[in-house]
Amino acid sequence: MGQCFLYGNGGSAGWRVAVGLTEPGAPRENMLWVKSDRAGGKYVFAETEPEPPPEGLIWFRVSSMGIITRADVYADGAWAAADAYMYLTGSWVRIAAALVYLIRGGDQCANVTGGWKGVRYYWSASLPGGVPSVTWAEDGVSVTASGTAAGSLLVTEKPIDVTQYGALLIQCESASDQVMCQLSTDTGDLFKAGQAASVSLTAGTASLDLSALSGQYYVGIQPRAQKKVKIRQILLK
Amino acid sequence: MRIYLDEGFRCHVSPGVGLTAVETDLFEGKAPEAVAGYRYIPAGKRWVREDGRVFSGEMAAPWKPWAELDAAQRAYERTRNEELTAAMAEMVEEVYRRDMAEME
Repeated sequence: MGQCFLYGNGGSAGWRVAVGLTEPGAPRENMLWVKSDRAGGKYVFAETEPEPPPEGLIWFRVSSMGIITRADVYADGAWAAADAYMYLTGSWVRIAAALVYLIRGGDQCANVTGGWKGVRYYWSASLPGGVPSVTWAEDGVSVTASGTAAGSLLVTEKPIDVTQYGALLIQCESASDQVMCQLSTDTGDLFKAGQAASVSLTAGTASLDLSALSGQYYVGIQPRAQKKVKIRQILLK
Repeated sequence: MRIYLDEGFRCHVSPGVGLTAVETDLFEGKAPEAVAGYRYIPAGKRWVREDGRVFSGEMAAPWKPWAELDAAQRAYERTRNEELTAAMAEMVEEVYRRDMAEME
């Protein structure tokens, strides 16, 4: 995903924003395009949610550095993430996505996750878990838990904001029994204590309901003792 | 831990009419008020959300706002820590009394 640096905020900066499901005709350099049939003509660049949002408002979320991290459209009383593009040197470059990948094949999606790390899954002092074996390949990541009963964890380096997303989808090539994907407010040995939601993984796609969750969570894959899993992709939708 | 599920897979901590009992270790250490804010889909079962998306078990996810459940959990842990601290202080006091009695 590309990144766009913007300075200043609000709609008075002179940005040209097009909306619609098809590419705008006659694009100009630095023009923005929000791929949505629900977006109106008004937009705002802001770090925090604009209130009260009118129907059709486009909210370009920007970091404190002025980087667009996401585009949302307010429709039917809720924000929904949308694909957004910028016209740069003669072509449309996607700068924000309706889907956010956390793992995509061998890509650790470090811009969102900060990368992934293998650590012990700390169940308790008597069941401390162990560090997993982790192998990244072009088509995904394989994780094999250590021999201890509590198992191991492959976890994001950074917590991820799941607000506005409805589901976490985990696509596995293969999975032993007793492999879970979990969201937690905490990391390290406190991961289990902060556990907020979980789903068991099997070959195919597992879905975790996020509709009542808001805020930031670490995402972890936890195979128990000597169990294995191969993940092809994980994404927020 | 035994919990009780209604038709929408919402968790209850006490048995009731129309509820199905299930066993799971996913909620160990959770406050009863927090558990009651979760939806739990056992392995082999499916739940269809209002928007048509299908979720298969085993899955545990809040149906009440997370902030509410988190607050209940933190209050529960504070109370439990206070109770444990009080119990430990009583034990230490008891041992001290016994030792003093033996010395006398």
